[in-house]
Amino acid sequence: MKNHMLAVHRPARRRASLAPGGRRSIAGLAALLLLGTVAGVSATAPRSGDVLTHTDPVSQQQMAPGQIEIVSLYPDDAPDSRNLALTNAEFSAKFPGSTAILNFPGGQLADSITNRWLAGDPPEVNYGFFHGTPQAWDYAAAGQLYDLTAAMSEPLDGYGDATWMDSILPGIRGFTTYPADGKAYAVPRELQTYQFFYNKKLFSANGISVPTTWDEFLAACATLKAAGIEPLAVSGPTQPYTDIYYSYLLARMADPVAVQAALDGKARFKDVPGALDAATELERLLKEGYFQSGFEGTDFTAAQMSFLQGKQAMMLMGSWLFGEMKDSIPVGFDSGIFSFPVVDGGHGDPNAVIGGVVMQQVAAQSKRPELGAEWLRLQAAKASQDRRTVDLGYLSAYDGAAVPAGFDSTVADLQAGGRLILEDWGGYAAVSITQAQRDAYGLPISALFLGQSSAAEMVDAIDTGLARFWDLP
Amino acid sequence: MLARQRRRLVLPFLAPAATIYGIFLLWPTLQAFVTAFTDWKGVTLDKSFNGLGNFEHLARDPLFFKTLGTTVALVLVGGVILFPLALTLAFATSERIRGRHLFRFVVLAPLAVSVVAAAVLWKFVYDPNLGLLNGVLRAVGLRDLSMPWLGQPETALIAIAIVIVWQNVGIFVVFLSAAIANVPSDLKEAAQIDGGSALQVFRHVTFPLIWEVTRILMILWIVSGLQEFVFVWAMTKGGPLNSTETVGIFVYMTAFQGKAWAYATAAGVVMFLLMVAISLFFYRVTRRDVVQY
Repeated sequence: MKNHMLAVHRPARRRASLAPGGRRSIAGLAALLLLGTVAGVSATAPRSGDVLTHTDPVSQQQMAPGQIEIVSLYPDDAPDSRNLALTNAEFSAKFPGSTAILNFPGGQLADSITNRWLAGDPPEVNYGFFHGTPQAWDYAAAGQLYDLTAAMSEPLDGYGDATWMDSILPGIRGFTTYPADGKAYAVPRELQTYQFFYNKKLFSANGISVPTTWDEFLAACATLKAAGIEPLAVSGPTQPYTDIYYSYLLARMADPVAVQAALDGKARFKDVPGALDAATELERLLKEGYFQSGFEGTDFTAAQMSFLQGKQAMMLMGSWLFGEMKDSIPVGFDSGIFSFPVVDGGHGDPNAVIGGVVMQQVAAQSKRPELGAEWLRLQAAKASQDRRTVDLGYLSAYDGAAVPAGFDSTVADLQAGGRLILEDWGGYAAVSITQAQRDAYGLPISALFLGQSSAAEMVDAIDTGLARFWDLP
Repeated sequence: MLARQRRRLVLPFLAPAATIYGIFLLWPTLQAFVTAFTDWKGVTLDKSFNGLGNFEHLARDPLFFKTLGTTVALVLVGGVILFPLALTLAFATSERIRGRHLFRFVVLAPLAVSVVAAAVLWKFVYDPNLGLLNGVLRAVGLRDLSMPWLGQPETALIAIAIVIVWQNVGIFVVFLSAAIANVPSDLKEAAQIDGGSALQVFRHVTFPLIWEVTRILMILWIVSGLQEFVFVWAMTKGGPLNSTETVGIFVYMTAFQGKAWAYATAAGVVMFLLMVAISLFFYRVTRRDVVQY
């Protein structure tokens, strides 16, 4: 009899599959996968040398039709987006076969857009990649911005014979150009200025005239407080909105050139004449209790709504207030505007305006930068600018565009070449600024607002913070 | 030979998961470790080797150490609130009480709310003038206790910790309830027969038997807490006065606002190593003999 060897089929066990030979196989597979991943990602990653440069203007007939992407600062149902849609329609009419689509990534210089720039797939029209401050020149230095110089040397619709560049308000033109090569890489979308909005009904009910001096302003606050009305709405947690009080007082009471030098690390902040006086005046507002109750924890949207609902009489806010809150303003709300008061005896600039300029750029690596530039030209045209100012109450950076009610003196100052000081003295408006630099100026001001320091301590803290950041002796 | 055939069968099934793991976890982690040793600014893809420069800078950065302290404080405060609460709720829902299903629903409901929606909701609750919390306090005569919860350094971090606990307690209750349910009832009955109260039975019988699950949950809490970003960003952005700024916020602002991507990555690497070290340390010191039944 033969012995039949029975094949014993043992059930597969985990340990068997992870026997030394199995473990090596798995490790080998994982290593292969990793190497393949590395190779694949490296092969498809864009190289910094692959930057397209377009310096010659292309005529309408030469431009290939296609779709371009416009980054929007507002969601689809916002009033501003509806205005942008009109510009898109004009674009499609002017360039048959071409369309412009809006992309709302959640804000300026949004992470998703920044990542697309890194990946070499940026939208055509963007925000935040170039500005007039040195901290905002990185992308120009890297050659990633489309040169708009030639386009801006051509006339612009609605401004007569003036070129696109010359149509921009004199005080704003500097923000379009990169000093290192003298080329234009950005155009202003809108001008933003900070001023006081006030509730006309509350003013007239308490016999208050629009204040033009700091003493008149303090008297108005005292009158309102005595009548049981909170004088000033402010958002405490939103740093720029508290900083702006001190920034304006500095502009009025100290030489702006000296202040900017100190903030840029060329001098000590505590040595700027008027810096402590300005802090003392801000401290006075806080000690008198002129700011809304609970401002420390009030979000800026809630603060704006509180002002619009008539709970406070005044609000130092950007010119976008009514455009942004257009759909939320109660019927019958009557507001006026006045500039930050002049401080008698101050050594600063009584006409300085603190604000910002929202700049737009075209990405050189985008698929159709020439069409992006033409879309910007349509937006800069007087018809488009007037739509934004008249319909939405925004300020235009273009000389000759319509001026929203109340802003005539502001625009007149800038038409005459008046100084536009960037909000937070260039800190907040910059594209790239370290937190340490921003905190050096803003954090001590927040500490004063929260009652955690005095005016003198605030100035010392700003000085110390800036000295540490700039490594001053 | 049979084993080799089985491996040939198993490995292709592992390949998709390994590929995804490699692409989305291993590769970015390796990239991060490499980037931390460069001077990358995030404008172009050019990177130059920077040695230990970023780590040396971190060692001298007072803000980084402040955020580290804030992050650890958030984990500790949140943990002190979360675990007693979760254990109590798990214990309560494991008992046959009337309405326990509704009670479980109430505890689990916050999990269905997205993190951002929860943060915005609680931001409104904490609003000093319009918020529900101060409104209730004023209505019951406790006006003096109403305050700007997110607007003062003394209360902002605890306020955020409460929100994080509110959103996450449900999942912890689920795990602990399951662990409690697995404790043999005869052990508890024996303890009760011996005269133990409900609390004593929980403390001396149930809790030791669920300790392993609790320990793992604590480690998960530590790891997720050290990475906290969304709630802080949505509610305070690290303010007031950087009092709620976690390392996650520090890394984000350094990278996306300061454009110091390599420096931010170095901070992330340090945080990763700290998390591993803290987790291993915690795992070691909380180890006990496993009670088997």
